[in-house]
Amino acid sequence: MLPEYLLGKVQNPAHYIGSEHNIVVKDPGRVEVRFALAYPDGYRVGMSHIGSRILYHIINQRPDAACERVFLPAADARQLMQQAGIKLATLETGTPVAECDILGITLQYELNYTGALAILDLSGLPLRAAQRRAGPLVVGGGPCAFNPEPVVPFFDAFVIGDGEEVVGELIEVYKQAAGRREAVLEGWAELGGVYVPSRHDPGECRITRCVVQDLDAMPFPTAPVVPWAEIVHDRAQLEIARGCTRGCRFCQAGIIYRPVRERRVQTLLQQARQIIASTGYDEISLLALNCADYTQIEQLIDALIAEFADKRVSVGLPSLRTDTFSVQLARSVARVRKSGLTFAPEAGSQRLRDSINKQVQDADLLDAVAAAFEAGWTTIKLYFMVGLPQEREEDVLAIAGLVQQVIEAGRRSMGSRFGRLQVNVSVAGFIPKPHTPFQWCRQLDRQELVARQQLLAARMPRKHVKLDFHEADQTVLEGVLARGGRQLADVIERAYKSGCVGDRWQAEVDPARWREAFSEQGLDLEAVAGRSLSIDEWLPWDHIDCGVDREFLRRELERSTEGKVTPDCREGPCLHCGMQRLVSRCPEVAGDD
Amino acid sequence: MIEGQRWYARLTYRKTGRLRWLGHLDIRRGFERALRRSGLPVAYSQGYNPHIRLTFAHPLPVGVEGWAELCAVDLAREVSPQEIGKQLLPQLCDDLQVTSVEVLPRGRRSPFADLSVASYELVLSADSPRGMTIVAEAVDRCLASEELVVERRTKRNVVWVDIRPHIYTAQLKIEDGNIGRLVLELGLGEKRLVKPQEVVDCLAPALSEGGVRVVRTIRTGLR
Repeated sequence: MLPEYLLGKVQNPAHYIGSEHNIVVKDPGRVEVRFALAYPDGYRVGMSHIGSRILYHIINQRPDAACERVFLPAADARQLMQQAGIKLATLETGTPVAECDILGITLQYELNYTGALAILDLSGLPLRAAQRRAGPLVVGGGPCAFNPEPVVPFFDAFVIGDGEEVVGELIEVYKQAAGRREAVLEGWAELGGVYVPSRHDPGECRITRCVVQDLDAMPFPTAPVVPWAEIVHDRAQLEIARGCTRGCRFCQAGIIYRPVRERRVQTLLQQARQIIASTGYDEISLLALNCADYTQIEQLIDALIAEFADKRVSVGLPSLRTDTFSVQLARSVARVRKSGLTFAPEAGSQRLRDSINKQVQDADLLDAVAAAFEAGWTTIKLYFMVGLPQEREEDVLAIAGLVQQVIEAGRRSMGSRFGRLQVNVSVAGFIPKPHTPFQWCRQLDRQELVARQQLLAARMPRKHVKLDFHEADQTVLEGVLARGGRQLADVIERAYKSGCVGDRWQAEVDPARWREAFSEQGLDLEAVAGRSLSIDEWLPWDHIDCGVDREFLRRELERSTEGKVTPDCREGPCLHCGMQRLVSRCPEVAGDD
Repeated sequence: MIEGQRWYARLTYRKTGRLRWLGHLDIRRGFERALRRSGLPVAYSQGYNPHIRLTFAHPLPVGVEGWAELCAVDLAREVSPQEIGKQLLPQLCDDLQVTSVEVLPRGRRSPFADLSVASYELVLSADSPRGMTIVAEAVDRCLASEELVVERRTKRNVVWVDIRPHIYTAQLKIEDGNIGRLVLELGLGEKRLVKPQEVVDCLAPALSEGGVRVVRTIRTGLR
């Protein structure tokens, strides 16, 4: 929250005023624990994050605690705050972050690390945990906490995994220890799934991820805060399932959110009703790593449509598979074919798709787009990656070939509408992520990545195609930060101090400054990125147990080099990935009785 | 009741406090969502992507307070103003709140076609009483002048407009020596529009000479 006299000077004052519908404002004198929940990116992005909304809801349900939101102010506001000596304060009560008891910072994306430092700095807190004697205890969470080492010195603790249950435990311990720092940290270190670097030696500890067993029983925000300002995902969100076992070998989410857990149709219907009634949204978006995999997706969609048809609420399915079934689903919910349909074949050739275990055939994609064209869509978005392990030139060129086939399919099925066909091709660079079978693989350096982009661009059909590449510098940086060890903390701090408050929305990632920050620490950014890791080497995240065994990952890497696919365990036998150590048995999916 | 008669609710609302920092589109979205939550029988447009038929009289700039702004929402059937108030008020908040409701038959013309005057109150703060006197004299000079030409930038070019004919009132009321209230009545609509900031720009030399700042801008009404 910004004081009045600064609001007239910033570009988006509505991001700093709070006062939204459904905001929870508690009397600070009547709660025992004040929890500031920060998103290290701007309001538009942060307010779109469902995980933060879940925690906000859960903490505020407790009478003894208040959860208050904090977002990273945009560059103009940061500058004004620093000039005026204004400290970062919560949107709910305008309380300075430094006066809160716990500061949670979610780490969704590596390039937000410097944003997290900006949150600490703007709050007037020393960046390093070791230098903080007062003020809130700082806790990190989110997918990047699965390799916390690059940011360890800035945090007092990390929550690994699902936050729903453990957040209450953090608060209980805080109360029992009456907020005395050492005692709280001591208590937190005893909790499962909480990594307390001052108490845990990475060489000796093993932090096992928190797993919510019964997702259906978990609270979900049914009266979410409704922003005044437009945000990125400005609609109701309903989390239908968590986890995915399709086993794409590059995908971190497919490992760290295992096993697949689904909410019941009846539960979802009830939540949807409450959310729409409490927010007035006219669109509800179903969230899952893959909506089409939700066991009772058709029943759910039918029920939602029946419920909302006359209330003018539409249903959105943001993540689908590459098949005709998914197109049918999209068709059943779409009133207008306004936005394009998205498919992610990830690789252009069958050989490479087998190697990454993306079990999609050319025919699946071509059938799916043909079905989409017949249903009236004219815009198709395709996601690919370049730089995948074992990628050869012909695999890159195969992307262009596949796009050409999509255009041909359009020519055949679209008739007179063919002229309006647009294929948006988005090409990311492969990033090896911790806890995936490809965690040991090397990443292309900047030059190699750009060369492959150029190779592809030269062969890509021009007509009907809009080609977009992810920024090579950002890709390399993201990969290096993702697999980094504790020595990167100094680099991150330097980068922050030299002005890199990177977030992809504000385009403040300055590659030159980052490169400089690396070289000042005697590291070469490109060389670090291009390194492959040895199978036997100790990895910086080896003390974080995500539930999936290293041995399973290694086996999958091996199968990848052999070009062997591994079927989804929902459709075949158990693959013994290791999750059964954490969950007595993998939960029955969906099931609505 | 006339067969086929359509009705609309004419809402007077205020935008104050921290919510004066909302932009016009934020206000529109906020009203749409509040109306949806209220469960009132509002009318929707036809077509694939129906939206609530909601019109606003004149957008209020970000940062400017409004004490009696106007908007109109078409109703699917006649509803009493009391019922609308009862259902809608709980969905809004102190700083964005409906203050009166009328239910009127909907004609062909825009409900706000007849509005021609906006009244404003600008709160001025001076370092010294002398400064306020300097501004008061400048206000009188503005009114006495035959024309007041200001520059307006459009997307393509710059045009020069004489705003004097559509400044209907301009009066500085000095409260205690350091605080003043500049009361303005300005033209509305495409041909007659005068923005309060344009009047402030005309006073700029005096404001600067007298050490006077505009600390608050309020649109007090539309008629």
